[in-house]
Amino acid sequence: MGLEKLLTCPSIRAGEKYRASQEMASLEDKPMVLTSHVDELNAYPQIFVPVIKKYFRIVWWADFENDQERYANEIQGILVNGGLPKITSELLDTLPNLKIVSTLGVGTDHLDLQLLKSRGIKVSSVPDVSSDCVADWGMTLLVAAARKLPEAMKSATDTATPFNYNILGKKITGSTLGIVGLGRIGYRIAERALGFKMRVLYNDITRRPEKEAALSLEYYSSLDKLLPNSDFIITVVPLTPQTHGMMGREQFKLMKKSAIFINIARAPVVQQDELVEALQSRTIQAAVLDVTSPEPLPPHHPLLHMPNVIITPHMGANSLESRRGVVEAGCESCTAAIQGKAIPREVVL
Amino acid sequence: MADKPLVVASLADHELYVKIVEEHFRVVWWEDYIKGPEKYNNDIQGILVDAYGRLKRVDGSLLDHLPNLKIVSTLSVGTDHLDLELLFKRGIKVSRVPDVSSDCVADWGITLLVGMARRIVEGVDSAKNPATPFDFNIMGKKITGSTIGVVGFGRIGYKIAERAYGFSMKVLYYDVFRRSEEEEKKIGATYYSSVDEMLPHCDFVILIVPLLPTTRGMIGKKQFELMKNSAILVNVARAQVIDQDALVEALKNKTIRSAAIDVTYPEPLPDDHPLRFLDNIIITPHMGANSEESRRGVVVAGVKSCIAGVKGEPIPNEMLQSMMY
Repeated sequence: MGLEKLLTCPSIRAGEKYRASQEMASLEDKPMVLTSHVDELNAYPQIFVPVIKKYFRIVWWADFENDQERYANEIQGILVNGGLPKITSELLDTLPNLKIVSTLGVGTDHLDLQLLKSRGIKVSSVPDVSSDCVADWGMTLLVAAARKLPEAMKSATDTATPFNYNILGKKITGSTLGIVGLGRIGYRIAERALGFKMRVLYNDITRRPEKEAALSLEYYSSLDKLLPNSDFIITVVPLTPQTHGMMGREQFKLMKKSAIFINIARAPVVQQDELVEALQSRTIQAAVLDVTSPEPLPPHHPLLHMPNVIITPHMGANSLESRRGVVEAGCESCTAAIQGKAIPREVVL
Repeated sequence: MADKPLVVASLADHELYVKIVEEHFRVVWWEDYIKGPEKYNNDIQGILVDAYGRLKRVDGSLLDHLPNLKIVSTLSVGTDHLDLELLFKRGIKVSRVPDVSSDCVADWGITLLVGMARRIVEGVDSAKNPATPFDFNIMGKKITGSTIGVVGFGRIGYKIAERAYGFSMKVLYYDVFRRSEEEEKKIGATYYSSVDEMLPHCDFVILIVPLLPTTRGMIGKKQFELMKNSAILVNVARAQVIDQDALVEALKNKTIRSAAIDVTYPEPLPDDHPLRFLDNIIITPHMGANSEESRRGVVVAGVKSCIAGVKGEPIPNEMLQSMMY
C-alpha cells in the first residue's frame, strides 16, 4: 500500500500511520539528485540503490526525461556513474538549482570541467577509496597474463581442449616491472610487486623521492628509457592531453619482445590499432586491457581473437566493499555541496 | 656413445628435457622401455622421473628388474610417487629438486588466489566470449587487508606468505614446525599448531604441504564447515591433501565461496566429473613450476644429481632417509 494511501486510510492503526508518516517526512527532507539507471550488467546494480537512498530522493534519468518539469527545479545534485548521465550545457540549462556533479569514480576525463566551472557548479570525484582494489586488480592481471591462467583453466576444464602439463609462463619473481604513473594506485602496485621480489621502475611527470626511497624504486624521467628495461609495463595514469596516446608504435618497439603490457588506466592512453599491430607482429609478447575503445569492443575486433590478449570488462574497482565505498563517498560529497559545507574530494576547477 | 651411462626416463614429452638429458646419458624413454624391458634392464644405472610422465610410481614392480640401478632422480619437489622405504633398503640413492621451483610455485599459488578472488576467468569470458554478456559488475572478493591461512610453511609456503604480505594481507600459518621469531616478524605471521583452529579466521586458505600419511585428506568435510562461507581455498600441494568429494559438496552447497586447484585426482579429471561443471572453481593442469626458467632449472638440477649418483660421487639435493617426515 502506498504511503499516502496508508496515511489516509481509516482502518490502519495509529502506530503504523506514525511510522509511515515518519518515513514520508524523512523522504521529503532529503534532497533530490539525478542519476542514470539501474542495470545489473551496465549500470548500478540494485544492491547500491539503498546506499544512495540513505542520502537522497533519486530521480532516475528515464523519469527525468519523461517529466522534466516535475523534477528540474528540485534537483540539487547529479551522481554520474559509468559516464552517465552525460553532462551537457543543455542539461545544465534545465537545472537551475544544481549545485554539484559527483562522479562515482576516479576519473574526470568524461566531464567537461570548463563548462561546469563556467556555470559555478562544484565537482567531486572519488580518487582514493578504490586504490587498493584497483592495485590488487593490476597485479592480478599481471600475474594471470604472465602465467597464462585463462589458457590453463581452459586446458583443465574444457573437454574439447587437451590437458596440457606444459603451458609455460613468464617468470614473475625477480623480473622487472615498469610502472607508468606513480599515483595512489601505482604506488600500491609497487608495494605488491616488491612482495614478488620484482625490481620496480617508474615513470611519472612528477618525481616522488620519498616514495622512491620508501620502496627502493628507480625513477625514469623518460618513458622511452623505461620501456626497454622492463619485463612488464603497467599504465596507471589519468587521461590527460599529455597521456593521450602515450603508448603507441614507437613505445611498443622500444619494449622487449618478451614483455607484457597491461592497461588499467583509460583506453585512449593506448593507440589501440598500433597495439594490435605490435601484438600481431610479435613486437611484444602479450597485452592485458581492462579498458578498451569502445567498451565493449565489437565482436569481430582483432583484440578479441588473439590468444595472447586478455580483455576484462573494466573491473578494477570491483569488490563489493570498494564499489559500495565509492558510492558512499560520492553521496557524501554531493550532500556536503548541497548543504553548503566544505566538500570532501572536491575536484578543484 | 657407449661411454654414456644408460638411464630410463619417464618425463613429460617436451623438448626442454630431451636435449639436456641426451647430452649426458643414453636414454631409453619409458614408452620404448616398456615395449622390451629385457633389452635394457641390466644396463640401466639411473631413473629420471617427474610428476607428469607415464610412470606414476617407482616401486618394486620396476626396481626388481634393475640390478645395476644406482639412483632415482625425480625432477620434482615431491617424493610421494617413490617407494622411498624400498629404495633406501636396497641402497639406491634418491635425489629430488626441492628449491629451484619454489619462487615459481609461490608465484602460481598467489596467481590462483588473486585470480579466483577477483574472478578473472569470468571477466575474460564476459569480455571476449560473444555468447556471454559484457558485464561491468562482476564483483570480486577483497584481497588487501584480508586474512590468509598458509597450511605448510616450508620454502614455498613462506614465499607465498611474503607475496601475501605485499598485498597487506594478514598472514596466519600452520606447520608441524614453527618458524623463528625473526622470520615470523618479517611478514607479521601468526603461528597455529592446529589447522582446525586457524581455519575459522581465514578469508583465504592455501595448501602447500607435502603428501604424507599425516596430510592425506587433511581438508575434509569438517574443515570446510570450519571455514568461512566467504572463504576461498587454493591447492598447490597434492590433490589427496583434500577429500575431493567433500570439496565438490562444499562448493555445491556454498559452504565455502570458491576454490582454485592446480591438482586433482585423477589428473586429468574424467570428462563428466562434477568439478568441471561448477562455476565457483578454477582448475589448472599442475603447472606450479611452469616457467621456462624453472622447468629448465629443475631438469638441469635433476640431471646433475643423476650423473653424480651414477658416478658414485656426492649427490647434490640427495634425499636421505633421515629427511623423511
